[in-house]
Amino acid sequence: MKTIKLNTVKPDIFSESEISGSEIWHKNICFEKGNTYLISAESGKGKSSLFDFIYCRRNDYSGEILFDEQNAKTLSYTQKKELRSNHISLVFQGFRLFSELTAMENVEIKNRLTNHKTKKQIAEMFEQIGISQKIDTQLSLLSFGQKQRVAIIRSLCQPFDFLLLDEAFSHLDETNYTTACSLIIDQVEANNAALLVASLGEPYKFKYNHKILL
Amino acid sequence: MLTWKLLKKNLSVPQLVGYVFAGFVGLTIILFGIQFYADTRPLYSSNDSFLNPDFLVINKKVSVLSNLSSSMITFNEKDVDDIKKQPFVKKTGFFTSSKFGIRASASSSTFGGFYTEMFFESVPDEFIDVQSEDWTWSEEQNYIPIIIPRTYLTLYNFGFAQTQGLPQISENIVEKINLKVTVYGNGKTKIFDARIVGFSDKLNTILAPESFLKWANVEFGSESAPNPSRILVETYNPSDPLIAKYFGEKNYEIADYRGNTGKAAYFLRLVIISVLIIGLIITLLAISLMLLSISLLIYKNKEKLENLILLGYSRAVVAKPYQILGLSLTAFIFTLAFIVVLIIRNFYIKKISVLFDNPEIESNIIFTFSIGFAILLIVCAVNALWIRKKVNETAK
Repeated sequence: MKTIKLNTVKPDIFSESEISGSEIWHKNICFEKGNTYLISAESGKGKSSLFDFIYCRRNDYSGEILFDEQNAKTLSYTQKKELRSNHISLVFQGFRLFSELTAMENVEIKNRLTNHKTKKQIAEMFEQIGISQKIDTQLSLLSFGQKQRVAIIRSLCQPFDFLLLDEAFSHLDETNYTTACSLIIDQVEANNAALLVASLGEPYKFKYNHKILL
Repeated sequence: MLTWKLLKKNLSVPQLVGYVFAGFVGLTIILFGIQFYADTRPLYSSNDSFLNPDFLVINKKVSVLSNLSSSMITFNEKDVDDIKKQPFVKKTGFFTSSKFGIRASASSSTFGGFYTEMFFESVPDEFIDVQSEDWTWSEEQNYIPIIIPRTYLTLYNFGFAQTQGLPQISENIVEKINLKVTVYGNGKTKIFDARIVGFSDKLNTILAPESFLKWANVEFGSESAPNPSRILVETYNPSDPLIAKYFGEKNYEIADYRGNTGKAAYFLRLVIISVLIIGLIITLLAISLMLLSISLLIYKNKEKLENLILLGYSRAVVAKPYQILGLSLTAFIFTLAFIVVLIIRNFYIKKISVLFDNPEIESNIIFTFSIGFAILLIVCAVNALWIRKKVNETAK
């Protein structure tokens, strides 16, 4: 998948006045593979909605989202499964981790599907991001910041053309998000993927080709 | 398996135990009902295979006065003509009695020996429906086939054998005993081989082929024929109400023990059907309990299901742990129920096999097993489809 195009997309829940000034809602925009995008907005402007639409979790919007030329709303169930396993990876704002599994199992449950990383590679990522001591700890016992890093590792355990980060560093201090960013940059470059970073305004440690106001 | 570790969360063990228990009770009742019916059916459906059901045997009621004169219990020409005139009568036949001495003896290593004076009667061959090679006699033949009343055997098995500590014997065994029949009269004696080839509920007499009796009555007989005490009547329709009315008015009796077994069989069937319905209701309730329980489980794990799907898991993979759970529980219930039915069957089958040699016993188990297996498959299919539907609804 090379591009994601948004043609006059507008969430059903937003009125015209709420989206005035947005560079994405009700506009035509194209995200291309290989580029890095910062999507900044205040709370409540629809960052998570945007990623939900692209991830095909919701379709309560007008306009159209095209993956290359395929309309997102026409994707079959199997195509969505394929999209989420091989083309788009998303770090959810709410993590969507499983509290009854350990940190490692949370990553494995994704990797088992894709067989993208070896167990050793996963352990290295835990090491690199600074939570290797928590690898076998049950997730419910981890702090928000630690959970956030588990979610980031999980999102990297699949091939992707687009990596979407939905406020993925909100609970991390600068030291921690710096190491997380370098891990992400490595993986994005390895995949020659596009990176879409949604944040409240903080640019973190990425070099952007485009900065877009939502 | 990680998905199972996740999805078993919120599993209600008491609910599943409830399902196993109720399902076990229901399925056991159903399988037992079927098995019991299959095992006992031959006892009730055995009838006079050699006597056409359209035939009735008529006799006069024996009363206190009847020993004053034999004419009170025999049919004279006028009686017979009157019966022949009835619209429901197609044909009549008479019993031929032996008018010579008969002595029967048997020796067997198992049952010891016996010796008895006896008699023969015969009815026209057309009233008898046995395989022709069994029920024939000619002058050169030294072997006589015999039919005895089934009540004789019942009397022996449940009256005599039990109280005397003798072994109970089945019809099949009786049919294998070789008898020696000595016929004498007119200063002549002849010994024949004989074997019991059938049992009758309707005819309370010892039957030999008519050709034998006619020949022997001439050869050994001395007296002239008395009036018949019993008449065979072939009817157009044995359930015709006119029949009971006519014979009732005449104070004649219709011998038909099969009517009673028919009623018993009918009630047995009724009881078994009721039991099966109860078993079916319990099973259905158990299945609903399981379906509800799994629905609840899926509902409680809704978020996990959705997250797995968002990770790229297919709905089939997500549904599988629940389907396997339902399938294993159901298979467990089936196995348990089948084993219990086999154990219970062991208790009663010994009793039944004494009364009736049942060559189809083996296939009866297979029949019950097939029914149970069919139920198992249906339950598993319903269960699997239901879970798939619930998963699809939950994770759109």
